[in-house]
Amino acid sequence: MKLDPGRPLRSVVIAGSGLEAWLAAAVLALRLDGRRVDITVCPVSGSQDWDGLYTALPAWPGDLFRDLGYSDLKLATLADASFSLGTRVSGPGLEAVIKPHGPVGINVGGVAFHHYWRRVSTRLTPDDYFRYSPGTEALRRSALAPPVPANALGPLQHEMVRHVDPWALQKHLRHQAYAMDVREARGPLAEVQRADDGRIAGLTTTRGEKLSADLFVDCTGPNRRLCSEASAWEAAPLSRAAWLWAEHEHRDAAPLPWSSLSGTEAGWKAVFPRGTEEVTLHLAGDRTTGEASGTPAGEAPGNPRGNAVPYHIGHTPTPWEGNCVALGSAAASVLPLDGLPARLLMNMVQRLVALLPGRDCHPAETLEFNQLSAEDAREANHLGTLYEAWRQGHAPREAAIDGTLPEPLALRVRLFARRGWLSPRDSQLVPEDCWRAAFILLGVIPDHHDRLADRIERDQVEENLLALKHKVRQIARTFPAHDEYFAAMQATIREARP
Amino acid sequence: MVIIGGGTAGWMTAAALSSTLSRAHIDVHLVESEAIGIVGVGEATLPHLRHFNRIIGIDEAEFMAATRATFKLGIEFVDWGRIGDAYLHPFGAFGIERNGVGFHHLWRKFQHEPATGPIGDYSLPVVAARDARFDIPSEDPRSVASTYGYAYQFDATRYAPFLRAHAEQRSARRTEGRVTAVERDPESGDILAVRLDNDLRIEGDLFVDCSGFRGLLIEEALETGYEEWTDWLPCDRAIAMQCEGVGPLLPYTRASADRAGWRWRIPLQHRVGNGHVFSSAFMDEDQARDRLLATLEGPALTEPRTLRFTTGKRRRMWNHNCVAVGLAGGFLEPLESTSIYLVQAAITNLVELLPPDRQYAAERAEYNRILDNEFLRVRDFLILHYHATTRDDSPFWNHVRTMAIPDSLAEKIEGFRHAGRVAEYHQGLFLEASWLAVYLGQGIVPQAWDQRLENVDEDTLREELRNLRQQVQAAARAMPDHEAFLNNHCARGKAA
Repeated sequence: MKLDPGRPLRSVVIAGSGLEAWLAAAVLALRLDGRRVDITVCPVSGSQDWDGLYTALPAWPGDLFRDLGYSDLKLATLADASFSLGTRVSGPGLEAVIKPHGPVGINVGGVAFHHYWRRVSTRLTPDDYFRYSPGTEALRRSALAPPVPANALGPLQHEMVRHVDPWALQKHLRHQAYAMDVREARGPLAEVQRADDGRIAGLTTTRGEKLSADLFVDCTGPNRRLCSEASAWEAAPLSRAAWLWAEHEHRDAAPLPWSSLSGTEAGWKAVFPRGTEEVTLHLAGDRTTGEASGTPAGEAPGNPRGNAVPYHIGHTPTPWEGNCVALGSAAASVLPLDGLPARLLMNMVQRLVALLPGRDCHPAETLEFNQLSAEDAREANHLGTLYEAWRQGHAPREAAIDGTLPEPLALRVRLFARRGWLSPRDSQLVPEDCWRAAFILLGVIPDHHDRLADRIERDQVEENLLALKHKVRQIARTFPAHDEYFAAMQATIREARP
Repeated sequence: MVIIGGGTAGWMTAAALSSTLSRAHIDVHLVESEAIGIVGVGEATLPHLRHFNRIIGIDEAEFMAATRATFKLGIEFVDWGRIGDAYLHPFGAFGIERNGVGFHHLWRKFQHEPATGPIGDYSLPVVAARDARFDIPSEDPRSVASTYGYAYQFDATRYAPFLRAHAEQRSARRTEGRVTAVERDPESGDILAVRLDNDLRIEGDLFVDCSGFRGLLIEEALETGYEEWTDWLPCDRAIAMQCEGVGPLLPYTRASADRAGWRWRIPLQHRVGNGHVFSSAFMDEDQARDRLLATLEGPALTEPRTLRFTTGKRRRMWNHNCVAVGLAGGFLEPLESTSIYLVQAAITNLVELLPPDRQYAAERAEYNRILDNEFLRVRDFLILHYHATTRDDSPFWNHVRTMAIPDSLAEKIEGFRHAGRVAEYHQGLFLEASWLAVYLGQGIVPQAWDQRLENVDEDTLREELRNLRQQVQAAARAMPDHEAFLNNHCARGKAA
């Protein structure tokens, strides 16, 4: 709060109707107390069409859903959540490989596991590497168990991603926000009024309601309805303006305990298990040339929440300008890999809460927000560019030399290819595990291991790896079959439902 | 691998390489001349050195006995924000974060209430240091006694010989001689060999230049270039001398601002290290020497010795097949005891990025990126000490108070002044607690605190503050006297 006289920040208007808007509203209301800061959500037609991006919610320290009280059971009850322990990835030159979520192997003496694996393994394939994760071994047996201390192997704990119905979750977040005094404007957004200096003077809804605020939050998706037209957008290298859409298919059997990601000629296809459905998220076609290859025909192709919507991987370097801050896909569009859209959104919401000014927006806060958010977005999009290059048929090793990849990313690839080195970065958005798994998955097997791994005798390393593989299998055998787990979860949900 | 120079940087490099890498992979060869003295910078260190010593297999008690070391809980800054002020930059946290809100916001909210007290009252290393107490931190993360780290104050002239013995036991070779010529490959420009005054020729794949300010290989042979930062850090001289210690053995270093720079005081087991860092543009050497002599607490043990330096760093720390470590790579005044840390950062990254073959352009680019970042972030932190002041008692302070500062620092200061926000980064040396110590210690007080505290009942928050302060005081009282602890600890080292 401001000590000296001055008008404190008292009102926030969030524009958007999707999960981004209601998550921001609920978190702001929880953290700031709705009685002191008035929070209003102004619906924006169609802004929920990008919610499919939030089908995968990774469990990580910055998980806001846990803060808001959403346990796995609650997500399953309210948002039809299913769970996965890994992703089945396929694409050019790659037969399907199961990549587990989270860490693989155990680091020893400050040296990452993959160096020991590189040193002694006789099968330097992604498939072999990933088998040092209980998640992979469980998936090979179609088994699933949530990560708990009892099924950890020392520091090696598998991870589980929640796959939810984002539209159902959005509805619940809305109820939760209402309960914390968040108000919803009458009617959707019609017009944005700007002052001479480019700041937002107010919003008008179709019903004529005028909304003014100290701070406006743009959660309108890539349409960025509140951001100024001058606001820059940096397209990620190799990306193109594509279409995003979702399809739903009913499954008679229990969902699979993994998601899948396929790189095809047309684009990307991600399949997520969810309740009794499979949800397929497509990112394909070429919007700039009008090419609709791979895009659905008709107006509403199996997606009850909307048509294919435009999506161009990239980010704005200035998500916070004046009195308007863009969150989620209005600030950065990233490939739906490893739960990155959700990580990015949650990071931005948390950052906004931490930086929310006590009074009128100040350059110091906007600068900090923009720097950190842009770093996160670049980090996510570098990972995306690596996958995109691979999908387009560029082997990462070669792409890192022939100029296909931007230099900072190319250097990272070259360093991993040579010696398994992962460049330290300030942004913590993409965990090292994700980078390591991506490199190995896409065929970047280091030429050399870290020499510090030689401090342990080769025989000892071989013995350790053999023992670890055995323990990983043993622990995975204690996981229940996924069908049983799912049935038990459904039974609990039925009991819990009123 | 050929290391040129056998001072602290040279023997730290040799010890690290020979201790962590297999002899089958690397031959460590150090060249030094006994005729060349060592600068012996960095008597005061940061907690990172403990990690370095542990990694290379050094026993702490043995090391402390050999180098006559004392424990260090932080650095006291006297007369920086204004004359008469003093604060301690501790190796540990201030208070405990509250539901994602930094403790300093809570302290700021109640700062003006008499019961709140200074923020240092909520930091165990600050309270313990004031009472000259010390103990090894607890390993229980729930205990307030786990909220700090510690470093050492030691005799740097004894550290290099100690490391030499360690490195030579682990296969590092030493050759006596002074480098007289450097042979370079006419095509690639890489260094092929060095020639010594005793006619020896030493070849290597990779050379580490630890030759000090001169930069025998990195500058004299390779002409790498130097990036000067004297516009922001104008001190360019240091006079060092030793005296007898008087009074209790303090577990912290002191940096007292002076009219044209600052003076250090580093208490060791057997003496006190003293120095005066100053700008020759604002004070001549005689005056600086007189100032130092006048402030010695006990009888002088050595004659004053002057060092000249230019603050900055090499344009490339790794150029061709030569890596500059220590003073050869750059110099930042030891205001925050960073000299040995920067040596350590250079060595650690070199060990981790040591190339497996001669195609190491990628490793070199990455190494330079990381080291540049380290130096830049330390640089900004040091500038803050000079710039964040109200002192107007001398032309020097008027200059540093009003000088233009790098944008990267100006943005950080503004973010803190406006809303108590400490710039967030994960790479680099000084993190939130360090910035907080200097901001608040030198009078940059946030105009606002985190709004999230407004959701909580004020009496509840006051109670939390009171409880925490009591816990810190109690934990400090439970610690033994620093000198007693040290004697007991070093007795074990001597026995070993």
